[in-house]
Amino acid sequence: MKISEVMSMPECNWVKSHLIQYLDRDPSAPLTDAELRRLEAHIAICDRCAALSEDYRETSTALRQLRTHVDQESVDRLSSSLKKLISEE
Amino acid sequence: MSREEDFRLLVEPEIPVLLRVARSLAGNSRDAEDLVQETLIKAFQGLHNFDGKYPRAWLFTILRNNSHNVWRKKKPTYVLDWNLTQESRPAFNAEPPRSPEEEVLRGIIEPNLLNAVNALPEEFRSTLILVDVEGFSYAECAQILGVPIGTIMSRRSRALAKVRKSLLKAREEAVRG
Repeated sequence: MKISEVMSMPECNWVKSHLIQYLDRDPSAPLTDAELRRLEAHIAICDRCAALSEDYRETSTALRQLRTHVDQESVDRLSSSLKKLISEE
Repeated sequence: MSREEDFRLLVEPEIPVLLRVARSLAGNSRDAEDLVQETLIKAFQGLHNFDGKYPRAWLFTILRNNSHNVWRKKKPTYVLDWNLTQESRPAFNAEPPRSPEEEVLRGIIEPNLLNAVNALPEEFRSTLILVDVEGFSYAECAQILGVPIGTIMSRRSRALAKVRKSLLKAREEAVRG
Protein backbone atom coordinates (compact mmCIF):
# COMPACT_ATOMS: atom_id res chain seq x y z
CA MET A 1 0.00 0.00 0.00
CA LYS A 2 1.30 3.44 -0.93
CA ILE A 3 2.00 6.05 1.77
CA SER A 4 -0.56 8.37 0.18
CA GLU A 5 -3.20 5.62 0.52
CA VAL A 6 -2.41 5.12 4.21
CA MET A 7 -2.60 8.87 4.77
CA SER A 8 -6.03 9.08 3.18
CA MET A 9 -7.51 6.14 5.12
CA PRO A 10 -9.38 8.22 7.74
CA GLU A 11 -11.01 10.13 4.89
CA CYS A 12 -11.82 6.84 3.13
CA ASN A 13 -13.54 5.62 6.30
CA TRP A 14 -15.58 8.80 6.51
CA VAL A 15 -16.59 8.49 2.84
CA LYS A 16 -17.46 4.83 3.29
CA SER A 17 -19.80 5.66 6.14
CA HIS A 18 -21.62 8.32 4.08
CA LEU A 19 -21.52 6.72 0.65
CA ILE A 20 -24.95 5.07 0.73
CA GLN A 21 -26.56 8.35 1.81
CA TYR A 22 -24.78 10.06 -1.05
CA LEU A 23 -25.91 7.51 -3.63
CA ASP A 24 -29.50 7.30 -2.39
CA ARG A 25 -30.23 11.01 -1.92
CA ASP A 26 -33.14 9.95 0.28
CA PRO A 27 -35.03 12.99 1.65
CA SER A 28 -34.98 11.50 5.18
CA ALA A 29 -31.19 11.45 5.31
CA PRO A 30 -29.75 14.29 3.24
CA LEU A 31 -26.06 15.19 3.31
CA THR A 32 -25.19 18.83 3.90
CA ASP A 33 -23.63 20.82 1.06
CA ALA A 34 -20.28 20.69 2.88
CA GLU A 35 -20.53 16.90 3.23
CA LEU A 36 -21.43 16.54 -0.43
CA ARG A 37 -18.43 18.62 -1.49
CA ARG A 38 -16.12 16.68 0.86
CA LEU A 39 -17.33 13.32 -0.44
CA GLU A 40 -17.18 14.25 -4.12
CA ALA A 41 -13.73 15.78 -3.72
CA HIS A 42 -12.43 12.57 -2.16
CA ILE A 43 -14.03 10.27 -4.73
CA ALA A 44 -12.41 12.34 -7.48
CA ILE A 45 -8.93 11.52 -6.18
CA CYS A 46 -9.32 8.10 -4.50
CA ASP A 47 -9.54 5.14 -6.87
CA ARG A 48 -10.63 2.71 -4.15
CA CYS A 49 -13.54 4.86 -2.98
CA ALA A 50 -14.53 5.62 -6.57
CA ALA A 51 -14.58 1.87 -7.31
CA LEU A 52 -16.61 1.18 -4.17
CA SER A 53 -19.10 3.87 -5.16
CA GLU A 54 -19.43 2.32 -8.63
CA ASP A 55 -19.87 -1.17 -7.12
CA TYR A 56 -22.66 0.01 -4.84
CA ARG A 57 -24.34 1.79 -7.72
CA GLU A 58 -24.18 -1.35 -9.87
CA THR A 59 -25.42 -3.60 -7.07
CA SER A 60 -28.32 -1.29 -6.37
CA THR A 61 -29.23 -1.15 -10.07
CA ALA A 62 -29.06 -4.95 -10.33
CA LEU A 63 -31.30 -5.28 -7.26
CA ARG A 64 -33.91 -3.02 -8.83
CA GLN A 65 -34.08 -5.41 -11.77
CA LEU A 66 -35.19 -8.18 -9.43
CA ARG A 67 -38.51 -6.46 -8.93
CA THR A 68 -41.14 -8.98 -9.93
CA HIS A 69 -44.22 -8.25 -11.96
CA VAL A 70 -47.58 -9.12 -10.56
CA ASP A 71 -50.32 -11.10 -12.16
CA GLN A 72 -52.82 -8.61 -13.62
CA GLU A 73 -55.69 -10.99 -12.89
CA SER A 74 -54.83 -10.86 -9.18
CA VAL A 75 -54.77 -7.07 -9.31
CA ASP A 76 -58.15 -7.01 -11.09
CA ARG A 77 -59.70 -9.42 -8.59
CA LEU A 78 -58.49 -7.34 -5.66
CA SER A 79 -59.65 -4.09 -7.28
CA SER A 80 -63.12 -5.58 -7.79
CA SER A 81 -63.33 -6.79 -4.21
CA LEU A 82 -62.19 -3.36 -3.01
CA LYS A 83 -65.00 -1.70 -4.96
CA LYS A 84 -67.47 -4.27 -3.63
CA LEU A 85 -66.27 -3.70 -0.07
CA ILE A 86 -66.80 0.06 -0.40
CA SER A 87 -70.17 -0.22 -2.12
CA GLU A 88 -71.50 -2.57 0.57
CA GLU A 89 -70.74 0.01 3.25
CA MET B 1 -66.01 13.08 -2.94
CA SER B 2 -66.96 10.62 -0.19
CA ARG B 3 -64.49 9.23 2.33
CA GLU B 4 -65.08 5.77 0.81
CA GLU B 5 -64.17 7.04 -2.65
CA ASP B 6 -61.05 8.75 -1.23
CA PHE B 7 -60.11 5.42 0.28
CA ARG B 8 -60.48 3.62 -3.04
CA LEU B 9 -58.39 6.24 -4.86
CA LEU B 10 -55.72 6.01 -2.19
CA VAL B 11 -55.56 2.25 -1.98
CA GLU B 12 -56.22 0.95 -5.48
CA PRO B 13 -52.92 2.18 -7.01
CA GLU B 14 -51.03 0.40 -4.22
CA ILE B 15 -52.47 -3.06 -4.96
CA PRO B 16 -49.62 -4.19 -7.29
CA VAL B 17 -46.88 -3.25 -4.81
CA LEU B 18 -48.89 -4.72 -1.92
CA LEU B 19 -49.08 -7.95 -3.90
CA ARG B 20 -45.36 -7.99 -4.63
CA VAL B 21 -44.39 -7.48 -1.01
CA ALA B 22 -47.05 -9.96 0.15
CA ARG B 23 -45.64 -12.52 -2.25
CA SER B 24 -42.15 -12.05 -0.90
CA LEU B 25 -43.61 -12.63 2.56
CA ALA B 26 -45.92 -15.51 1.72
CA GLY B 27 -43.71 -17.25 -0.82
CA ASN B 28 -46.58 -17.90 -3.24
CA SER B 29 -49.16 -15.95 -5.21
CA ARG B 30 -52.30 -17.49 -3.75
CA ASP B 31 -51.43 -16.75 -0.11
CA ALA B 32 -50.24 -13.31 -1.17
CA GLU B 33 -53.61 -12.49 -2.69
CA ASP B 34 -55.39 -13.66 0.48
CA LEU B 35 -53.04 -11.55 2.57
CA VAL B 36 -53.71 -8.43 0.50
CA GLN B 37 -57.45 -9.10 0.58
CA GLU B 38 -57.35 -9.25 4.40
CA THR B 39 -55.22 -6.12 4.45
CA LEU B 40 -57.73 -4.18 2.34
CA ILE B 41 -60.60 -5.25 4.61
CA LYS B 42 -58.68 -4.29 7.78
CA ALA B 43 -57.60 -0.98 6.26
CA PHE B 44 -61.20 -0.13 5.38
CA GLN B 45 -62.40 -1.11 8.85
CA GLY B 46 -59.66 1.00 10.42
CA LEU B 47 -60.06 3.98 8.11
CA HIS B 48 -61.32 6.19 10.98
CA ASN B 49 -57.94 5.73 12.71
CA PHE B 50 -55.88 6.77 9.69
CA ASP B 51 -54.48 10.31 9.98
CA GLY B 52 -53.94 10.79 6.24
CA LYS B 53 -50.15 10.79 6.44
CA TYR B 54 -48.00 8.17 4.67
CA PRO B 55 -50.89 6.12 3.19
CA ARG B 56 -48.50 3.61 1.66
CA ALA B 57 -46.70 2.99 4.92
CA TRP B 58 -50.05 2.74 6.73
CA LEU B 59 -51.17 -0.02 4.35
CA PHE B 60 -47.89 -1.87 4.67
CA THR B 61 -48.01 -1.71 8.45
CA ILE B 62 -51.40 -3.43 8.28
CA LEU B 63 -49.98 -5.96 5.82
CA ARG B 64 -47.03 -6.69 8.11
CA ASN B 65 -49.24 -7.06 11.22
CA ASN B 66 -51.61 -9.24 9.28
CA SER B 67 -48.83 -11.52 8.10
CA HIS B 68 -47.62 -11.85 11.70
CA ASN B 69 -51.12 -12.98 12.68
CA VAL B 70 -51.46 -15.39 9.78
CA TRP B 71 -48.05 -16.97 10.30
CA ARG B 72 -47.90 -16.53 14.06
CA LYS B 73 -45.96 -19.74 14.54
CA LYS B 74 -43.71 -19.32 11.55
CA LYS B 75 -42.02 -15.95 11.49
CA PRO B 76 -42.64 -14.27 8.15
CA THR B 77 -39.58 -13.65 6.07
CA TYR B 78 -38.90 -11.66 2.94
CA VAL B 79 -37.60 -14.05 0.33
CA LEU B 80 -36.89 -13.46 -3.32
CA ASP B 81 -37.51 -16.69 -5.10
CA TRP B 82 -35.64 -17.28 -8.34
CA ASN B 83 -38.39 -19.45 -9.90
CA LEU B 84 -41.03 -16.99 -8.82
CA THR B 85 -39.02 -14.17 -10.34
CA GLN B 86 -38.75 -16.07 -13.60
CA GLU B 87 -42.43 -17.00 -13.70
CA SER B 88 -43.52 -13.50 -13.00
CA ARG B 89 -41.61 -11.86 -15.81
CA PRO B 90 -43.95 -9.73 -17.88
CA ALA B 91 -45.58 -11.14 -20.98
CA PHE B 92 -43.76 -10.81 -24.29
CA ASN B 93 -43.10 -7.28 -25.47
CA ALA B 94 -43.83 -5.92 -21.98
CA GLU B 95 -40.15 -5.04 -21.62
CA PRO B 96 -37.52 -4.39 -24.28
CA PRO B 97 -35.90 -7.50 -25.76
CA ARG B 98 -32.35 -8.25 -24.64
CA SER B 99 -29.42 -9.25 -26.76
CA PRO B 100 -28.11 -12.84 -26.40
CA GLU B 101 -25.09 -11.39 -24.54
CA GLU B 102 -27.36 -9.58 -22.10
CA GLU B 103 -29.35 -12.76 -21.52
CA VAL B 104 -26.18 -14.73 -20.75
CA LEU B 105 -24.91 -12.02 -18.41
CA ARG B 106 -28.27 -11.81 -16.71
CA GLY B 107 -28.29 -15.58 -16.28
CA ILE B 108 -24.97 -15.33 -14.44
CA ILE B 109 -25.71 -12.25 -12.36
CA GLU B 110 -29.25 -12.94 -11.24
CA PRO B 111 -28.81 -16.34 -9.56
CA ASN B 112 -25.72 -15.07 -7.70
CA LEU B 113 -27.53 -11.92 -6.69
CA LEU B 114 -30.58 -13.83 -5.48
CA ASN B 115 -28.39 -16.26 -3.57
CA ALA B 116 -26.53 -13.36 -1.98
CA VAL B 117 -29.77 -11.62 -0.98
CA ASN B 118 -31.41 -14.76 0.33
CA ALA B 119 -28.31 -15.60 2.38
CA LEU B 120 -28.63 -12.33 4.33
CA PRO B 121 -30.02 -12.31 7.87
CA GLU B 122 -33.77 -11.62 7.76
CA GLU B 123 -33.64 -8.02 9.04
CA PHE B 124 -31.02 -7.09 6.44
CA ARG B 125 -32.83 -8.90 3.66
CA SER B 126 -36.21 -7.29 4.34
CA THR B 127 -34.63 -3.82 4.36
CA LEU B 128 -32.78 -4.43 1.11
CA ILE B 129 -35.87 -5.83 -0.63
CA LEU B 130 -38.09 -2.97 0.48
CA VAL B 131 -35.62 -0.18 -0.37
CA ASP B 132 -33.65 -1.51 -3.33
CA VAL B 133 -36.01 -3.92 -5.01
CA GLU B 134 -39.37 -2.32 -4.24
CA GLY B 135 -38.18 1.28 -4.15
CA PHE B 136 -39.56 2.38 -0.78
CA SER B 137 -38.05 5.47 0.83
CA TYR B 138 -36.16 5.15 4.15
CA ALA B 139 -39.15 6.68 5.96
CA GLU B 140 -41.65 4.27 4.40
CA CYS B 141 -39.39 1.30 5.06
CA ALA B 142 -38.91 2.38 8.69
CA GLN B 143 -42.66 2.64 9.13
CA ILE B 144 -43.30 -0.74 7.52
CA LEU B 145 -40.69 -2.58 9.58
CA GLY B 146 -41.40 -0.60 12.75
CA VAL B 147 -37.81 0.55 13.32
CA PRO B 148 -36.09 4.00 13.28
CA ILE B 149 -34.75 5.45 10.03
CA GLY B 150 -31.19 5.20 11.39
CA THR B 151 -31.64 1.44 11.77
CA ILE B 152 -32.83 1.18 8.16
CA MET B 153 -29.76 3.09 6.97
CA SER B 154 -27.36 0.97 8.97
CA ARG B 155 -29.00 -2.34 8.00
CA ARG B 156 -29.09 -1.38 4.35
CA SER B 157 -25.49 -0.25 4.32
CA ARG B 158 -24.36 -3.53 5.87
CA ALA B 159 -26.65 -5.55 3.60
CA LEU B 160 -25.27 -3.89 0.46
CA ALA B 161 -21.71 -4.47 1.66
CA LYS B 162 -22.45 -8.16 2.25
CA VAL B 163 -24.14 -8.57 -1.14
CA ARG B 164 -21.23 -6.84 -2.86
CA LYS B 165 -18.77 -9.13 -1.07
CA SER B 166 -20.73 -12.24 -2.09
CA LEU B 167 -20.89 -11.07 -5.71
CA LEU B 168 -17.15 -10.38 -5.80
CA LYS B 169 -16.49 -13.84 -4.37
CA ALA B 170 -18.83 -15.46 -6.93
CA ARG B 171 -17.11 -13.58 -9.75
CA GLU B 172 -13.65 -14.66 -8.54
CA GLU B 173 -14.83 -18.27 -8.35
CA ALA B 174 -16.30 -18.04 -11.87
CA VAL B 175 -13.00 -16.67 -13.20
CA ARG B 176 -11.05 -19.46 -11.51
CA GLY B 177 -13.52 -21.89 -13.09
